[in-house]
Amino acid sequence: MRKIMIVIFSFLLMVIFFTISLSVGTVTISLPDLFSSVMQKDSQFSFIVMEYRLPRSVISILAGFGLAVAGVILQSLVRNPLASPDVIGVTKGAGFFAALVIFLFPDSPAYVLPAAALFGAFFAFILLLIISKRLTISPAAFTLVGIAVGAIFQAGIQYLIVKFPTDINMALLWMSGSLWGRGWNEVLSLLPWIMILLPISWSQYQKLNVFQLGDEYSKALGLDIIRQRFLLLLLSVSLAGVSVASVGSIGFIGLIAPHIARQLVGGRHQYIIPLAALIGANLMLIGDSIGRVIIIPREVPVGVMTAIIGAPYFVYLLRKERKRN
Amino acid sequence: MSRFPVRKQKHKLFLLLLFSVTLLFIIIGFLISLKWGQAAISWRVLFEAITFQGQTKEHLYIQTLRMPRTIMAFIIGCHMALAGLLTQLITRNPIASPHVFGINAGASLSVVIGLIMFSHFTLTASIYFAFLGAVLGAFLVFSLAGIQQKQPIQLALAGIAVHFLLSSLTEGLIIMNEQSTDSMMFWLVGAVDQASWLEIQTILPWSAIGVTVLLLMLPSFRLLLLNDDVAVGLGQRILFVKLCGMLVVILLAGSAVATCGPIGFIGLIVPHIARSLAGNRLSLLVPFTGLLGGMLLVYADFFSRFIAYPYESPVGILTAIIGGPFFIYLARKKGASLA
Repeated sequence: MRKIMIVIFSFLLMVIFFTISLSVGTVTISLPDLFSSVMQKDSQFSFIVMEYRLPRSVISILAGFGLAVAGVILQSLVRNPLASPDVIGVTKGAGFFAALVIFLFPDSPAYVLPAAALFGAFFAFILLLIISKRLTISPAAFTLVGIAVGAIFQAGIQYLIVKFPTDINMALLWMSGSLWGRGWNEVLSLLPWIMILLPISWSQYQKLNVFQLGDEYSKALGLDIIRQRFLLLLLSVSLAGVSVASVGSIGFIGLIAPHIARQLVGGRHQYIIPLAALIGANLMLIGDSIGRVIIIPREVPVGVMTAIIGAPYFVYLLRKERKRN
Repeated sequence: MSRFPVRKQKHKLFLLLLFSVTLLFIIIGFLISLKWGQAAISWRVLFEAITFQGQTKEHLYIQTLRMPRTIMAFIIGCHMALAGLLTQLITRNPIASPHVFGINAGASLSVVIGLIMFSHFTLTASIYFAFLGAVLGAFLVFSLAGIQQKQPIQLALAGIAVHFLLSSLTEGLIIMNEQSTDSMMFWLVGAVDQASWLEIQTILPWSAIGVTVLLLMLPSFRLLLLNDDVAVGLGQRILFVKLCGMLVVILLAGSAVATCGPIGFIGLIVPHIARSLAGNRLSLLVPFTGLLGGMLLVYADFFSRFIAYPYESPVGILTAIIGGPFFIYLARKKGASLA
């Protein structure tokens, strides 16, 4: 019961942060104005709210969901609370292909960039599968291979950045994760994916519960480990890939949201998955809101902001956990 | 159980041959690095320039650009390789390196902060900043993973998490500060092409201090090859030895990052190659690691000139491209014992 209360509470928090993120920015909009601008088309702020802030906040929530759940699945699979989609090189793969588009084809239409990023995430995943001998190596070795794949893609990104110094800012902005200029088109391309992948992820909670116990248990309980590991990993990579494709490589959410969720409701994934998703969305909304107001009229990218906010808490959390063990 | 077998001695003749071949390769590396690049130089001019005889433009080009650059590559390679060897000894972790320790990322972050905050930011100041940042990075990683961490994977993940965190902060700072983006990005990848004699003068004292402490502590560092329990049983203060080791790592890696940016993977690869060639005797392994690291970076710097010829590419890209597959090889080979 307590666990369900926590989930409901974080949902309410999300509603509050969602409202706040609609009202703050270069122009602050009061609550009554906000309400009227959503209700009436011709009110004073309706253009700002409907065309800029609403899609942006919706994307924050969707991407927060995606990144956090991707992290939950991955951490359970490799049985390590420090893993995240960043670590296995998937976000770097997405980043490399996004950078390719930004630098080599700067005039390509807007939908090419997210598509390339998604492709990059899966490309990194396939590379990972090949190198890790189709996942037959231990989770630890798998993680290390992921780190290495990420490092190689990072070298590629750096090469592009140095080779084409004119467009650096655009690329860096994308790389650190930003919601700047996101509109309804991005919402529409992200929404169906999240709507499909999130319920599927939740339906896998029993397998995830078993997986975090260890390979011997999973085998004893009749799981086809390699096959299940592949399917769950595919799920995680898809979630991370679509999220990263629409908001840029924000890695920290996938690391910290599952962590906080696990602290609050323990090790059972039927609660962790929804709670982590909500926490991820909350973090995105907070990060984006603060990033917008901290040095008006400029914006701190949401990826940087979530790192700043989340880092101290993360360090505190891990230290506490370590002391307990 | 130690991951590295303690007794692994090589034949004397083999070692002699090994050192002479390495020295030969270093000399060849220096020569080709001086000779070829954006402008090719004839052997005669090269010889005159090295002996400081001629005064033409070509001579000056060699003396003020290519010579400091090559020497700097060698110094930085030494620093990174020795720092890597020490981190691997201290943590008994085959995948440890200044990069995985968060030291590179921490140093980079604080140097970027310094560059943005102060308009006249000297190299000496940036070295001190880098030390601070290196301490911060290492502290973060250790507080996440624990200093007596038995599982290498835990350290690697803590290190990489801290690395991502610190570098996203660095990137954020660079985005917010648009004036100097290009030069900072180039520096962030790690490059030696801007090195001058002045920079070599600035970094050399730190090399001297680092290497001296390393050599003085060498008998104590031998303990790091043993089990902690055995070392304590022998009456040694293992924590003190480890802290001294960390200090050397921070001195070497911090000064290298401040001067040439976070050049990755040298600290990971070189100790492994050195160990497999020269064995585990520290009195041989330490100098050999230093030489090999210097040699590798001189060659890497040489080849990096041709990645996007005639434009310079930062050498850090090349070391990452070599280092990534090596890391994969390590992970697959040692994977079973890492869990």
